[in-house]
Amino acid sequence: MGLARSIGEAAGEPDWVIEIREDAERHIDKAPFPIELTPLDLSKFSPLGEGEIKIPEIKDLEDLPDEIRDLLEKMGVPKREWRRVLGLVQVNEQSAAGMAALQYFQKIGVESYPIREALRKVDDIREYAFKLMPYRENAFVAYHTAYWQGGIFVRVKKGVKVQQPLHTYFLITRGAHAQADHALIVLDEGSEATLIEGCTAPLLTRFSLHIGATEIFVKKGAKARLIVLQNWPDYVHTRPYTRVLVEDGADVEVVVAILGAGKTTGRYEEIFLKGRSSKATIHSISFPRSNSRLEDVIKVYLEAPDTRAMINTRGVVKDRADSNSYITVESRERRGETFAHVECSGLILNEGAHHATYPIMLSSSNHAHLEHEAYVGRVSQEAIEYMKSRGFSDEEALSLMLRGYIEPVAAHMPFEFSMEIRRMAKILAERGAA
Amino acid sequence: MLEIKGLSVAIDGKVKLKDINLKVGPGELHVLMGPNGSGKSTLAFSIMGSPRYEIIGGRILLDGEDITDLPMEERARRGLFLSYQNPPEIPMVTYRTFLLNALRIWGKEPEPERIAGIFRKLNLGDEFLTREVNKGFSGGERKRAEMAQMLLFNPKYAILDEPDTGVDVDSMKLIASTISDVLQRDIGVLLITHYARILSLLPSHFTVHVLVDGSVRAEGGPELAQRIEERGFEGGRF
Repeated sequence: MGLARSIGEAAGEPDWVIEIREDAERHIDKAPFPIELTPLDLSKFSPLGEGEIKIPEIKDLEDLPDEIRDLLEKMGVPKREWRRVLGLVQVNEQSAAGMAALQYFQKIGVESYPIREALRKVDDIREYAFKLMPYRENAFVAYHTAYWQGGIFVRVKKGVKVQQPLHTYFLITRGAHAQADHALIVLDEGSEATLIEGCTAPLLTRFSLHIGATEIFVKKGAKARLIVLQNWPDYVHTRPYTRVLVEDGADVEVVVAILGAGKTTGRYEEIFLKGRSSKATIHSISFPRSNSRLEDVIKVYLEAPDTRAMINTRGVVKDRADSNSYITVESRERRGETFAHVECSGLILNEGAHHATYPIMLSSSNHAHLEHEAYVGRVSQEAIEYMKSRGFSDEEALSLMLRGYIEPVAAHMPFEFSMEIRRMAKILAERGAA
Repeated sequence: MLEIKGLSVAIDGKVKLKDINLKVGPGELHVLMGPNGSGKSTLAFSIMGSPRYEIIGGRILLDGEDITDLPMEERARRGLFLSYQNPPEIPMVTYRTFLLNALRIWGKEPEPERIAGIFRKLNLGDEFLTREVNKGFSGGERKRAEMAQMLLFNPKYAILDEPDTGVDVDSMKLIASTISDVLQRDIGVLLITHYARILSLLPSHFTVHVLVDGSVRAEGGPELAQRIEERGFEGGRF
């Protein structure tokens, strides 16, 4: 019996799920790695986490490494939250806060279960689950689909408009920090919701490879906002995959903040604007530093008349980090008009840091209006000196410039995160000015 | 008193200023003139403390305190101001944010109304405050914004590096009246200029220092500026 089957059987998953796992498993070696991403020898990693990194047991918060303590304090994370945000708490049962949140959301029309439970009890789940996982085309997706464990299912019912953001964090039970957690999100017709994935605090994980995936269905006239926050420690490789399907008149907004890019991060996000007048907006900000390598791949396909994409990515690159943005917009609509505006830029904080942007605009119709702007540069030393002549220290000058730089993206974050991201810019400025 | 004592300065090992001596008292106007490349801007940046210039001799004293080894921001905080000849852009930072943060750093009240008032006084409407610092500003607008900053920060001594270069007549009048205004407030001014024109708009008591090849070659009253205006530096044989 293959590993994929044994994982599925051990969890009592339905046969059709196990069959998908097995099919995906057969494609791990056959499917190519996306050309933009750094390949990994997947056979070196254990999907079950055996022989993985041992995090020393932290009994007391005083035992935390100084750097992490320092960062948590500077980011203003309340001390009582530290264990949770660091992933040190073994959550087997839903937390009290999670339960309360869940009950509340259920009452207003949000269905949410751990993904395995959903696979058993949600009637029409086969219409959605793993439909957006192209495991024949992408080896990382194949690995994920074969070996995923844990994750969540969220469905916002027809016409329900959820005001409070849903922290998927609270909704996850086991496998919150699994190596490959799977999220399936469905926004039914006319519904609206903001989903928050991850958090800004650094995550201590025992896995050195993370390949999470998210599938999102945004149905007719629905509005989805997905906020993704990642802060990986420097021993981790991550290859998160997201695919979004957007129907008529529906709207998806994705806001991504990568505060720590681990050893290598390869984000791969594909948005299909299938429906007429559907729209995608993406804002992303990343702070790769030390020896991180970040690959941020965003692809938007304009497949219907009057579809629109707006993409704005910004990177602040420090130390010897290597940051790369691959933004592709492809208009596949032949007759109706389509629109896209892409801005990608990178700010290099020191000699030795690297940033590249690769915008690709594809169209085979003369009704496509696709445009992009790209900028990569150093912080202007002349501007820093000018600010010093007005009384700013190096640190204060750099901090103000970084804040200005990230503001257009930070402004799209919920308040508490935008505060943390601004603080992150300040921390970088403090360390960068030295 | 802003005192420059025997100041010598080098850039990349090349001596650019030799044994400069200069004293600017509160409310005094001193005019520094000299041909292109004589070292006027080098002196301005050296007094302000730009790290691009190496002090190889001499001292700079501000009201008796030796500031020769202090970083730029410390000099600024002690009351020294430099109006740039070519003020740079600060990308992604609006003028308003820049000034409010500067005031905060100075421990002053963030007075948005006062800022807007000063800008209007220099014929810079509120829209300039919402734009990125100096981005898309004309030469005259940049220089007027420098004057606005001088009024806002209210320094003890101001070094003005060619505030009248490349500006139209109306801008020049505004700039001159701002200089007259700060002199009245007992701010000492070291004005670098190529033209006697702006001097005709300023109070008539001032001292002219003529800088040639990195040394002060002549000093005198307004008549010296007049001589330069008529005969140039060559004909004037400095």
